[in-house]
Amino acid sequence: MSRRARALALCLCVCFLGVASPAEAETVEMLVVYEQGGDEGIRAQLASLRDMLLYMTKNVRYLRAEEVTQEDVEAASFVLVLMDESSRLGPAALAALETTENPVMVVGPGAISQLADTDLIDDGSVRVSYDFSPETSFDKLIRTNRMHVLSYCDSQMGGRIETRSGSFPLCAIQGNIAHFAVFDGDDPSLQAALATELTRWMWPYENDPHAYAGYVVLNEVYPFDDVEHLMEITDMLEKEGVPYAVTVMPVYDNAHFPSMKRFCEYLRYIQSRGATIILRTPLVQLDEVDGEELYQRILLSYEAYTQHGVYPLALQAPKSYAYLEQGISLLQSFRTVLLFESDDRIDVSLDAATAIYKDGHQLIAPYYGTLSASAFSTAIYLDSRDSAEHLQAQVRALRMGSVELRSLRSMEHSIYLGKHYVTYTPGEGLASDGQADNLQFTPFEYDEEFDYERGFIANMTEQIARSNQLILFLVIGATGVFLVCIWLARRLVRRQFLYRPSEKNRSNLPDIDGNDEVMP
Amino acid sequence: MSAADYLTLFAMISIWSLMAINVFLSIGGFIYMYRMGKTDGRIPLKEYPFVSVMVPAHNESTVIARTVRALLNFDYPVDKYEVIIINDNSSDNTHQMLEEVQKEMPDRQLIVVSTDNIIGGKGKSNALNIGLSVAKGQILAVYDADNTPEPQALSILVENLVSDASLGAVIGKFRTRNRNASLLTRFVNIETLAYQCMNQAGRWFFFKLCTIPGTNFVIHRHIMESIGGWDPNALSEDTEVSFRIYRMGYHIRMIPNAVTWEQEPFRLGIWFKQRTRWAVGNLYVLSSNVKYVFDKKAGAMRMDVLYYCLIYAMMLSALVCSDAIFVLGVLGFSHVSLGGLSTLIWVLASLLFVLNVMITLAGEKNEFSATSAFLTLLMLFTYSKLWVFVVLRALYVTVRQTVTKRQETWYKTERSTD
Repeated sequence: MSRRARALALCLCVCFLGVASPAEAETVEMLVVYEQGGDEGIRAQLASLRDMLLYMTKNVRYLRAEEVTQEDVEAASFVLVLMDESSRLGPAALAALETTENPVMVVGPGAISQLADTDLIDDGSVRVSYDFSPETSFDKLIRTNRMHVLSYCDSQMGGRIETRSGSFPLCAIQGNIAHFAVFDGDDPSLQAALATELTRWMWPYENDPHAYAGYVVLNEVYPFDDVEHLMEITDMLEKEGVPYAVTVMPVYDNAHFPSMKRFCEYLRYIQSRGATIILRTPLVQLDEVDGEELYQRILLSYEAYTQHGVYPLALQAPKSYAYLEQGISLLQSFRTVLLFESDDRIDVSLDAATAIYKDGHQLIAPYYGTLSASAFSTAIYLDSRDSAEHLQAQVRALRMGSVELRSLRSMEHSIYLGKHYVTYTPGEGLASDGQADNLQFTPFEYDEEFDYERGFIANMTEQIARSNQLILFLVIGATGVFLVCIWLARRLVRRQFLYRPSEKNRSNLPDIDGNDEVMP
Repeated sequence: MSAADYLTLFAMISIWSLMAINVFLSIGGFIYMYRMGKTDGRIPLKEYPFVSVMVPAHNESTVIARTVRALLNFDYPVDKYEVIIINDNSSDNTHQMLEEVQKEMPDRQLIVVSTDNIIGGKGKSNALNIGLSVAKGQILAVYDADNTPEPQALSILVENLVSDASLGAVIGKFRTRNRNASLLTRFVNIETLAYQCMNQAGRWFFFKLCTIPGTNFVIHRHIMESIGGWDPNALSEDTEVSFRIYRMGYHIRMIPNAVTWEQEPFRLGIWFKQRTRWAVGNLYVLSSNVKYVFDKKAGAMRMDVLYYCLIYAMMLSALVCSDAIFVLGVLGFSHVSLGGLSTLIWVLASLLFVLNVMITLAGEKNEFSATSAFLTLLMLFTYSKLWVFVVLRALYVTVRQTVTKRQETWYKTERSTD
């Protein structure tokens, strides 16, 4: 079965399972109008907004300001404008945005003065505060240049801006124009505030949007990690009453080794106690690998775990996977995908930024610091190398916050990978290829005399590594003996060692004191 | 496991085994040299036997006069030794040079045997056999035509030979006379001291084995006669004679106090031809004697044949393998997947090589210096590699000789003026 067919099958499965299907192809939930070639700040803001809308799983269309038409604006349920302060909307875009009755939000200072009555604030820096919840808020100085605020507003949304001229709402609405006055793509607090305001703005009901969950994930667990340490951490999490998941690193070879069985035994144990196992993608530079090879690697790794009764229910991948074809194609095999920030510097086109939406994933975003983004689900990653005490303190702090910690096992999951079709439904459990399976724990039996079949090379490599030590000691010993001999010889040479008294009679001999020996 | 892995493993085991053997021999050699250094090597005799000092000379006009004068300057009783120069089909003025010396010292027993291309010109062994036929001495001494032995060298050798009935021959030490002539002679000097003298001393110390080096040695005449003289087919007549002496049950001892200074090739071409001749000779001797490795009656000789086999077969193949793998690896044609080969170990091997040589140089005057240490290290990566080409060439010549059934002519080492 081809990759496309598999992807189609997964989508069909998702539909049959009653998951909300993506929006109609023609329908655009949000139109983002941006200024091409803006400054560094605008590019960072656009990238931040792109990620945010990805995590919110919105059907988004991106258009440059000069491309926007009346039809584009009318076809979108919401319009978001992001431009720098010096940029101006062209006549067509301006006309379209002025005449539309659809909600329009302007983020930052650009274009707002063309669409609404505003006042210019040029204080250099302002104080911005925002309350996410009674327990969580921020209050900080933000450097701004030529900030616009609405002269008046029909309704105020969240946040305040304190300037020398007075106090203004961070986000406010004038007619159908909402304005989020200060934004910085590199500031997680402002990112969280914008995400929250966007969610509220798009929420169709009178009440507040529902809260999104946080999922505690013990991150990057390797088969060679100390199982006792892992057990200590997971015991602590259970004791603290925190539902958790574990991301396991991919394994391709030697999955039958006792150490792998021991590791899987631990995973099966925590799996039977409610933990969710998540498979991590390989650490590769995505734009330099072959998509099919990557797929085969994931399949191999998935089978390495399932053969020992460990069922990864979700895939963890770098954020860049959601924007590149090879990555999107791979993610199609898993309904639930956890994303994380990575260091790969991959250029992503905005056209690609909406492609993954069509696959209807349950995307879980990385957690932004201590401020909860109440706009999408987040994965709160714990470092498995930290001590249990340190993690306990972290978990207790999380529990004090406003994020509701949930188990990934409270969601439905499905995997279609190779010949494997696995589903998980809360209350019903696991089904593998249509057959019910269980996640109960039964201990393995170990072969005491396991034959590693390591081959001549591995054995020889080990022998050589061992003999290296022996050689090192022998060489040190020989060096010591040689140095003593050299010292003895020099001492004796000084005492005429090998010096023959009759040398002075060697009338026709070269001078052994040296230089006369040289041939002409 | 690829072929490159097997070859790497083989090279590594071989090189370290040979290194261990060398370290072992060097330590034994040092102890022996140290002990001998405390004496002057002399064992005075009541009566000194008559000695025939034989020098094969083929076109040696540039060096022969100096050599003969040195030989006539021995502190051995002048009436108890004769110097026989076998002027072996020389086309230069060797004969005139010898006549001049005869005229200088008319009262000395200096015999010049000149041969033509019918009797002579057939190599060193043939020349020595001609010398043997006219020699009067009960003891034979052999020197190369470029040697300047020290005055007491002959006395030391003869005294030690006569004083121990178990000895068939006694050899001395030889040094490089033109050490500073070129970088090549610096290398040869180090090689001579470390690998010929020290190894000989080590082999004597542990196994009572030595190999006659071709010059600066004495041997009982009756032994040479009983083995039928020198083998004219052997280009490396010294090794061949050594093996025959072993088989007779005699030992060959090295006395480092008996020193001769010889001229070494200072140009690469000359050196290469000389060493190829030696290697061809050694291969001939090895092929003739390898059967004795399995002969329990061969005694200590088995050890020596095995030692030479190791040197030639193991070292050659190990160096060829390791160099080929290195070059092919750099060019991207081969890859060694064998792990555990620590770079530190190769660094240590180089350190051991340098120290192994320095232990020898430390016992010599004017040889132990930082420059020598640097030259030794340089030698490891340059001069030692040339040995591979020498042996490969020798193998080719040997195979060609076997196939064509034509005997290789004796390459006479070119001399230079001192």
